[in-house]
Amino acid sequence: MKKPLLDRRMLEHFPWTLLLSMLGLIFCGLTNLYSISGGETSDWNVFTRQGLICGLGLGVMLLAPLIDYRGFRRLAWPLYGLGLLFLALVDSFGVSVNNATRWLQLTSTLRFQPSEFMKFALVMVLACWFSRQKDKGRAEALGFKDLLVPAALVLPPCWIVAKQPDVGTALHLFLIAVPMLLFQQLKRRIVVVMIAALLTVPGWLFLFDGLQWLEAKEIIKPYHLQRYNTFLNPEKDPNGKGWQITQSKSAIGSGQILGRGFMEGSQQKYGFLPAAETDFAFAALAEEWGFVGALALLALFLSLCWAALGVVRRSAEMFGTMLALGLTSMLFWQAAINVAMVTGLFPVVGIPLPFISYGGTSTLVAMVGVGLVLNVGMRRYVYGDDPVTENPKVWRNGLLVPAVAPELQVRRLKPYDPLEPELHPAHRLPHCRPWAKHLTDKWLREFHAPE
Amino acid sequence: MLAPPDQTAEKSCDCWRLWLFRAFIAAVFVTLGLRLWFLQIAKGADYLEQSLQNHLSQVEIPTTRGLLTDRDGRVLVDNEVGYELRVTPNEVKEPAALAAQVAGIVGLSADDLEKKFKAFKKQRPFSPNVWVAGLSRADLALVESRRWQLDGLSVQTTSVRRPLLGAFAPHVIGYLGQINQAQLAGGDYPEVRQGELVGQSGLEQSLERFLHGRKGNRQMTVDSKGRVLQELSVEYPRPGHNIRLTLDSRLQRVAQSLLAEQAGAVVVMDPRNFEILAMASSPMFNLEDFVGGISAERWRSLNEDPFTPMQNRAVSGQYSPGSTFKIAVSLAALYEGVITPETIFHCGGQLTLGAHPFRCWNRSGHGAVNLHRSLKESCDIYYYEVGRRIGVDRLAVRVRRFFGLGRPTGVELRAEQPGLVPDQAWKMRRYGRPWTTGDTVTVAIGQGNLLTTPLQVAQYTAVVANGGTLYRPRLVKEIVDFEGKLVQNSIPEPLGRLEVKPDHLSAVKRGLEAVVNEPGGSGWRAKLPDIVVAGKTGTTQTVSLQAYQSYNASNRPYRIRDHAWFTAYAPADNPEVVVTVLLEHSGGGGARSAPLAAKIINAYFDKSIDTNLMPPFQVQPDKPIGWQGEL
Repeated sequence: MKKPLLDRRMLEHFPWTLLLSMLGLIFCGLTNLYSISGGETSDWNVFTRQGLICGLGLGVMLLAPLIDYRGFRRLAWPLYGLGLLFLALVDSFGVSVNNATRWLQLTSTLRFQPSEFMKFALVMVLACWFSRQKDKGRAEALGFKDLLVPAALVLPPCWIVAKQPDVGTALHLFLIAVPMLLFQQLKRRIVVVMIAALLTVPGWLFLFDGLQWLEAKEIIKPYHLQRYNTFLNPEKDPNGKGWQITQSKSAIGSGQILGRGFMEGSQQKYGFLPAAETDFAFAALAEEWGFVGALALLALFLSLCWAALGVVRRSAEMFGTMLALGLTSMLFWQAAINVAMVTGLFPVVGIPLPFISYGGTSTLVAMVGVGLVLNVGMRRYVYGDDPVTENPKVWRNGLLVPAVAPELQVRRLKPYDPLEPELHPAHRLPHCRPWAKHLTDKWLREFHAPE
Repeated sequence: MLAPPDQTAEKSCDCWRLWLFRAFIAAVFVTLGLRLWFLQIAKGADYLEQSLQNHLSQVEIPTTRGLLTDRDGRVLVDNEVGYELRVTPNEVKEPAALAAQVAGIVGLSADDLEKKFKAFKKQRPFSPNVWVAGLSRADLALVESRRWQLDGLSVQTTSVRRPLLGAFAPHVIGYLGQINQAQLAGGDYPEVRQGELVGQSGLEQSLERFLHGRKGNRQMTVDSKGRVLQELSVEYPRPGHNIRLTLDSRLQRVAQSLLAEQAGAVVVMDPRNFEILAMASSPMFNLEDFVGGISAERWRSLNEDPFTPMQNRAVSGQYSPGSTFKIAVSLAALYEGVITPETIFHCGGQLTLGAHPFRCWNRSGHGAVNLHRSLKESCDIYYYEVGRRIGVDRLAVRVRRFFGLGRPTGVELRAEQPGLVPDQAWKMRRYGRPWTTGDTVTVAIGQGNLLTTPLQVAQYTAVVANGGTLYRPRLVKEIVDFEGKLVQNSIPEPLGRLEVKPDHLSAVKRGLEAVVNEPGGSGWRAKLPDIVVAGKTGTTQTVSLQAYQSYNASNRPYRIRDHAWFTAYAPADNPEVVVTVLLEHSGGGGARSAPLAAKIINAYFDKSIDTNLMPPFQVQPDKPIGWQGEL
């Protein structure tokens, strides 16, 4: 039976909350950029460009659900390799802006930031590796030795990105991996070691001059330390190093409850708010829309995360779960770090706010990320469409009309085992892999189970 | 039916971990929400104010100070356009190169400029700071022609106070200086801020509120680079009022010239309305030194000079009036009925009170002396006797009431001293000892603890000259605003009336006339061919009466030589001018001061005298005649 591209059940399981939250955020972001660009649309300004990017992203998202996300399981490793390659290329051929080499110049106007791409690749490869562990039927919790592989996957890109230097993105890459790791069953000593590290390392860094030691050993650069000091007391040098954060705080604060009004934010209008269209877009929004607007935006982000975590919960397949979790974690950390940074709770690191800040790569990455989560969410019926465990309440309602339930033809797949003839890839998901009939057992063993 | 829930075992995630993550996310967002609450609601008003301050810029428009003119409208102190070079540190890319270039143009050291630049960069990096003040027009042209390569520089025009005549009446006009902390704290200068110039002495100080005008200001919205986006409101500045003084610049020049190489003071006053026509004090200083800030070295030299060139001796120098006080004593005694013009006392050259002999300057004695002769020959014994009869308290009350002694005259100068008229209570208070008759007779001839300023001496001379009315001496004739409208006119203010009988007053006046015009008068050197001058000499002893007995000016050290007084009015029958001359440490009044007074009176009446041919002003650090290097 040929599988149709779109199944009715795909729409039934579509996570509308997620999509609507994202559309709401895009709307807020564009409104804000419209104000920042001075209410002009004719010019080739940030608003127009961001609008085009969002349109492009939505187009991609319309098409993306047609592809089964499980195909990325195969693509994860090549994508990761490609990401590393790009990062290496940036190191040698990248374009420098403000003393940071972060971009690859594609054409004269088009620039590409491989570290953004790397977030994706990292999420996928981690999701792939963790789900593989589960799928292999591994019962026991992960130990120290098992963590070497994810560590080897996470740390090199972090290190390269930090060298660019882009400490913010490096930190982001690292933080993306943390929830994914914590969702695994870990041996008790790992948990103990992690908690101990969490307690001692910050203490050592901030109370016992660990930062100075790191600087003396040239592990971190002096300007990192300086940024940290500026974060601690921006009032010391309000016109120099503390300028950004001082102005950002007074922009946010001056919004008060209802804001200065749309297109009325003086901090942003008169150029006192630095990087108002990119990293500090939230401050511009909070200035014009006040506490109410800023809180509404936070609520949208919260609802986005909530809906995405709903997908994580309902997806019965490990790869999809981990993928959705990684992407949620990506969006969540980005939003949290950016808002914390703009409100002066976190040192200034250049992390844009997804959907709100102007920026092609970051917007596209965020939208594609949400698209993938949608993809995972709408395909959950493929595996564990079990209304009883999933949502008992719905099921109880469903009892009133029991005739509908038996009609569901659910094809369930067991965990992958290359030795199980019934689960031969040739029999699985043929619509995803039309070439599967050419695969042989031998090839499969070599590719999937190198041991 | 449904398939059994066999998938639950491999459900991909444990619910508690998911809920933990959800709880973490919620906690983070709640924290951020609380932070927003803190910033926008708890501190919102502060941040709003900060934000408004950011883009609303208020620029002050400087105003110009009012002009000072003499009584004929000749400008004495003017304002001129000055230029200052300002630098905005944030817009400068290479400070060292810029400093070198500017140093080349204006001729200052590049290191100093760079040091200044660094200080600006630290304090006010975003606003223009005065880098070079007092830029000349030639330098200005050089700077403007190279403007394209001098980023961050701007030229600001300022108003610079310019005294046009240098050392002309420096004590009266005064100078400007930066406002000091005490003045800022005092609240008399509400619109003046740190670093601005205000009058620090003379009329510049006392008439500050008329002269300084009101600054304007311009409210604008600016962007972060300081560019003006929109002008919201302008309040134009209001220039200070122009002030016409009573000074006659010709007489002032005469007075100052005559004081060359003398330490002393001259006051020339119109007795009819007490307008001060000239007020000179010597040694003088040059007001030009204060233009654009006086150098520390010059300031120190002026302050440490033992001859105190900055002191206005005419109002703040307190001296015993010497025999010129006999005018006041005789009038007080006539009023109290202690004597009549015909009363005769015998002068034997000496009056012994207790065991103490009080001598007349004429040791052989004047014989029988009446009022006329006592004034003409300045007989001391006569006034010892008058003093004994009137008593010090009655004398003090009279001279205070009739002549305004012992208190400031009220002229528009802050430096004015009150002088001192001692009485019994004062001595008890001051020394804890009772008053003696010896003290009385000393005060009666104008010596001892009695102190007057030259202006006060001129004042009682003028009271006698105008028939007995005491006015407030004035330096300001009228105040007009910049459009020429009259703000304040100055009219004579009567402060007291000399209540003596007219024939008593005319007796005194005849005596004063005789001082100059009759043979044997002590002031004969002041006699003029065409004009009848009336006056009185005075010699203030700087040491005790005993030393005075063997008086010889030339063999005494400078410090203990006598002060020479001469106070006169002319013409005697209808006085138009009062001249008081005090020369410090120079000798007898009749010998030293009377000729000077005569010359000034002559210059007053003879307008043909060319003041340009007179000696130049004596400006510190010149020293007076007779000074041999020690005091």
